[in-house]
Amino acid sequence: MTQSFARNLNALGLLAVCIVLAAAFYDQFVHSDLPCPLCLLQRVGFVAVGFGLCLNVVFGPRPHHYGIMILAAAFGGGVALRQVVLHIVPGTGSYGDAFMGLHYYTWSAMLFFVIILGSAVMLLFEGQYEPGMSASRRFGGQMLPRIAFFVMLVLAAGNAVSALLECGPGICGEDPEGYKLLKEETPGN
Amino acid sequence: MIALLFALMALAMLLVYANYKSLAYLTFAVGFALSVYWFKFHATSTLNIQL
Repeated sequence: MTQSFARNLNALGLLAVCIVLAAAFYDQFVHSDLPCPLCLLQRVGFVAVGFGLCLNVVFGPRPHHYGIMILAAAFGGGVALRQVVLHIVPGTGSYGDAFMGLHYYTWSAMLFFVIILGSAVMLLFEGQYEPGMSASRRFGGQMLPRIAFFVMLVLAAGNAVSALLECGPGICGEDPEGYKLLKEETPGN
Repeated sequence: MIALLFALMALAMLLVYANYKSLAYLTFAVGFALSVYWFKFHATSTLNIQL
């Protein structure tokens, strides 16, 4: 596997993570399904995976970039599994909507597992670490890695703004009912 | 404050773009450590369900 091919694969992976984050935004804003603290921490996990992918698309693939992705996915997977376990007992309800019969946190756990698996498979190909003609150029001089990087950056910044509006500067509520910073102050309060 | 975690990750990406690789790693490491702290905080909070 050449470095250029591996960089483009990482760019596609980065776009896939962007789609997950965009879908979460769609559900949040269109269906008014506010994310709970554990849901937000899963998004942090996806953004952290995105950071590892960004390193790969900007500087070229390196084993420690994949290591960052695996660490981030292990964190995100841990959070997702915690939420699955929270609702696994019959009669304890669930949080948020379901997609194709599974709740988002279940999908999230599976996606983090796929990310760990994908990173492990990518680590097997040592040809990607050999510098090619475009190795020294940022983004390998290609357009797809550049686009993927900026989409990820915008989504990470968007999540920062959204989380700030929802939780304010303090601790996020376990079952959020609105955006704390957008709530109008009632007179006398 | 979970917004800070996203902000730190976004900052780390900006630092990658600006070619400050070491600083980007440091920012990411701080963000990641804080994420683990907040996970521990929220994962060990009192359950609303009755077991």
